[in-house]
Amino acid sequence: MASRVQQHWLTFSRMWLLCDARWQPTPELAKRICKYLEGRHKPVYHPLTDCGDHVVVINTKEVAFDKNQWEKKLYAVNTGYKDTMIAMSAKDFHRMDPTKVIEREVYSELPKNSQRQNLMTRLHLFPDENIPDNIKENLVDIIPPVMEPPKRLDEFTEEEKASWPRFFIPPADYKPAD
Amino acid sequence: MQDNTQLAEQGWEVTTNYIHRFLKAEFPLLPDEGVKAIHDYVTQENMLVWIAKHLGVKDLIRCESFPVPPSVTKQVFLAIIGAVNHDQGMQRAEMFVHDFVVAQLVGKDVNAMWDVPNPMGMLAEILQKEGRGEPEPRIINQSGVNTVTPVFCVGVYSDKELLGEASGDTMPLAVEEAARVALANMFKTHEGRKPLALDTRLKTMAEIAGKTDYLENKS
Repeated sequence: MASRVQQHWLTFSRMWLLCDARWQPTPELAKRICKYLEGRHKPVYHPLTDCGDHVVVINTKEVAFDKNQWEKKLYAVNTGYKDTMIAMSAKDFHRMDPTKVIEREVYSELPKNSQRQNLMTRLHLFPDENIPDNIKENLVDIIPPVMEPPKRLDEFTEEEKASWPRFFIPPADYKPAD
Repeated sequence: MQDNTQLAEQGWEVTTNYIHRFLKAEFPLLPDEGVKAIHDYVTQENMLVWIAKHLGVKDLIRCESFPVPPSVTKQVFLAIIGAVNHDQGMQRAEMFVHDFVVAQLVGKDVNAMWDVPNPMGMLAEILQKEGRGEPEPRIINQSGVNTVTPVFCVGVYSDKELLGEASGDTMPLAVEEAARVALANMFKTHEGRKPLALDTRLKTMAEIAGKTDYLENKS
């Protein structure tokens, strides 16, 4: 172990974490990002120590909503003109700017105090996997995903398909009844 | 009133001798300069004056000038050790040094007392003498490289074996710190070592240090 000064510096240093938002359920993802932004994943956490980490989110354009939330969920959008507040569906909002959905969700999940703006500046959102080099060099670790994205049928190999357990294998001349 | 210079000299001999033996027994792998550095820290004037003050030596001093200069307090303290040595024998004097002076090392960072200007160079020398591979610093982790608060975790390897690991604000600082940790691990003065053997009775310490002659006169 190094000297106490160095150990102290390491304990309270700010990490840069990567989060892949591909096919992740949005509210659960927002909660998880919130936890890392606040620093609640550290045993030295205290709200006054400002011990949160930076979170870089990639593939935000591929984030997922449950059921028919894309159509049902509404976001309040201020157009900037007088007396005009628009309620946009999540689908249109996402089409307008693919990073804004996650930004709004994390903003609502963060504690509603003066820390919130500071923590939002430590959230970096990118619609796909292109990250600027100076941010890519900062990264250290990965936030574990909320759920593993499920595989499509064409992403399985032939051996996996053949060895998949089946209840009964019908004979070759089987015709299902209508 | 007699002069206490002779007693003070005796006291200093006892103190220095015992501290050196204690440190050599406690840190057998630490080089002589390191032992000397720890000894110098524990016997520096400020330290001895502080111990003396808290033991009530102030009340025993007769001095021309007021306030009493620190050099006088130090001399009186050493003279007291000399007096114990003269009156009750070396063993009792050494127990006094053990309990009051050496005990000041508890909780102190022993590696910081020895100012090594080039730890990497020293490490390279030692490894060369032992016939091992030269020290290679490698990055273990780094975060926030392009920010104002970066963290670099560096490990020093020799023949693919990790000698010491440390973190730092900048890369050269982290490398230097890792070399210091590697040295501390080699000399067995690392943070996770077992505590100072302060509860060991003098006989055991004498046995460890190999000096048992004066114990034979124990009454």
